[in-house]
Amino acid sequence: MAARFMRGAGNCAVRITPAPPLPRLAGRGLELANERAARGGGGAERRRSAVVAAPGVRLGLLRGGGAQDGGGLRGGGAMDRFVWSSGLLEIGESLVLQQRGVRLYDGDEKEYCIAIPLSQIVFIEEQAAGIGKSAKIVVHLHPTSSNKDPGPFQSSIYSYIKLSFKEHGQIEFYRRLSEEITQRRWENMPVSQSLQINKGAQAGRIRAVGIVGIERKLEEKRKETDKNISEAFEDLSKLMVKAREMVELSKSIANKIKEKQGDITEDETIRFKSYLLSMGIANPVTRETYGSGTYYHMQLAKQLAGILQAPLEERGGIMSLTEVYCLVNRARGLELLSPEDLVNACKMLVSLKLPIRLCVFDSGVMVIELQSHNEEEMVASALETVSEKGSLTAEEFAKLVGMSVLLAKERLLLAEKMGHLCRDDSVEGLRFYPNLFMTQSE
Amino acid sequence: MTLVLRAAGMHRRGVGAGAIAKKKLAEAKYKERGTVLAEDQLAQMSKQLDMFKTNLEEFASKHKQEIRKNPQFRVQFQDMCATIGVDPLASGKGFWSEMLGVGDFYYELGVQIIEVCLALKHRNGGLITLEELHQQVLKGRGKFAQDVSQDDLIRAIKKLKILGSGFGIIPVGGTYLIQSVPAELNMDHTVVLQLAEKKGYVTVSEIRSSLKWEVERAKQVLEHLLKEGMAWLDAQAPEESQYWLPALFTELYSQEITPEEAKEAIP
Repeated sequence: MAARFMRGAGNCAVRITPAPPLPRLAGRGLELANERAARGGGGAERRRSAVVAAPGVRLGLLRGGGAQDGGGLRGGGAMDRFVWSSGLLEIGESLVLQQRGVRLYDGDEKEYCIAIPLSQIVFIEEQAAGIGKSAKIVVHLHPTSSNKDPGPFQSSIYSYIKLSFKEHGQIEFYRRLSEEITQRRWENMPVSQSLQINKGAQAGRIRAVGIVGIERKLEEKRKETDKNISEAFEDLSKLMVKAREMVELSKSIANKIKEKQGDITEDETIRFKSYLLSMGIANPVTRETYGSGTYYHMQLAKQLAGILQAPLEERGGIMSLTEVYCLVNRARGLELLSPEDLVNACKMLVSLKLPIRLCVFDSGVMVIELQSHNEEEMVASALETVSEKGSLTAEEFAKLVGMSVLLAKERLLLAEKMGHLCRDDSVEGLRFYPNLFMTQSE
Repeated sequence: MTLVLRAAGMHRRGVGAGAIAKKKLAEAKYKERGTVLAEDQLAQMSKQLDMFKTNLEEFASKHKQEIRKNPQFRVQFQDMCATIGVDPLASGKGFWSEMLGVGDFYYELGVQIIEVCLALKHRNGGLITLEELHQQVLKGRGKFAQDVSQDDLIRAIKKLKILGSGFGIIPVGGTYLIQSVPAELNMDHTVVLQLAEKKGYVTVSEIRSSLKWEVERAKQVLEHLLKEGMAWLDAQAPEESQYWLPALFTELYSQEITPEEAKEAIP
């Protein structure tokens, strides 16, 4: 059930796989089953529609399979522009973008269909999500040409289709589709079939009728949207001018501080740093990370010491900084910490004499440890574990001890650095052995 | 005409202590002025900061939704901030974050990115395409969450680098590979990854012909990628061994199978 947008050397194509329409009876359950199966990579979900794909540039839809085999294809709607397709990549095609969970509407009807040449698209626009409604892309189309290949529908009252993005992704999809429509690469392609030429001529004639009204409406809407955006941009630009003044002022103050070293009190320095923090300006004096060492970070450091005590004890006294970042922010829910906030607060742990500290391994990996934690002591027990098993990789050791692979590897590397372990580095992986050179040397 | 009477003793004293005292007084006055200057400017900055905060509040009341809903506007906003030397994502305590809500959006995205990368690390060795990361993050966020663009992901990842766990962004083909492990990837490794991006795999011969490297150099790079779990070896390929990047597997070329199916398939 993935929407795919593909581009190829000769045959450009966009393909979309909609989510299967919900059957009235089974409802949510069936949809979940399909999703579950798709996630598990089961082969049963890949049923496709019949073959015959039109050459040329295409917007295609792959039916994801499920219980809706052949059902639900009613006549009517802009769906008559579509043709059957195998859903597989054709020769010369490559995937541009694939988006899951896209539902296709025939006009406003919840239907789905197969493939359509990109040249048939007049214009596309976004429709924002609402309460109970997912975000949509509306694709306005030229009328069908009479010599189109067979497709699932013969006639239609609508001149547009809607793609409903049940699982998001419309931003990227809209962007890429817009690009393709702007570039109009199909016009540069050598047209080998007479079918193509005929289509082009007819489409040109029909274009004048009926499309003009649509285009005019869209143009008005575009202007309205543009006005809103441009007002926002204008206000933003004015705001930025003021922000720039703040940056200049902070530079001037920083210069004064540099010139008159020691004549500015500690309190004033902290005040200055907190101003920088509010604006998001890098500290021009020390070039260190923004606003480090402010009262906010001191407070935060104390909070962290409280929050992390129990989790650290559960995890053997040590956690990576990324683990801490996730843990703390998940717990907060709102008013999250930035990565820099976390690092700056942790840098103050030791100076504030808190029971946890920040350590950095040679590899650059940063961890928080309990003060009582001693990594060198842990190395001794690691050596025992490795000796018992003969040899261990970082993954095996991690599993045995119940640590993350990242930290397990760091411990083994430290043991190696201290001379207790030696490595066997092969394509099979990195394996550690007890260092017999040390223990058995005489 | 005045009569000046000067006692010899007093005159001598003037050169000594008096002059030094005068000098000290002058220095002290000068210092005082210096401190006063800084204090003035700090007070001025404090005032201007309050004014700016008010302006930002006004902007937020009119356009906060625009930032939330319009990814192009977000990009413009970020670019403008960068031009003037301001980082709106530096701190959750910053004005931008507090009033425009941009902070929470990106910091939460950071958490989701970390979790996705961790979950898939055993399969791809800590390398993942931006596209796949995007898909997985969207899945994890669920239907009712706000949509995110690839640009949003890139910005969130740039912030994660400072946590020290090896987050990096590698340009390949027309897209990016996201690294989430502290493995060292130098220029040689990166160039081979870029070469492999076209087909999802690369061979020693291809490296030699495209990059004009010696066999040893090519082999070293490929072995490093194998050891890190970022490349898988297909020794059964017809002509020569192929080094595949699981990060580049897509549904078009591959399909995940269960261990049981694997046992049946491979003799």
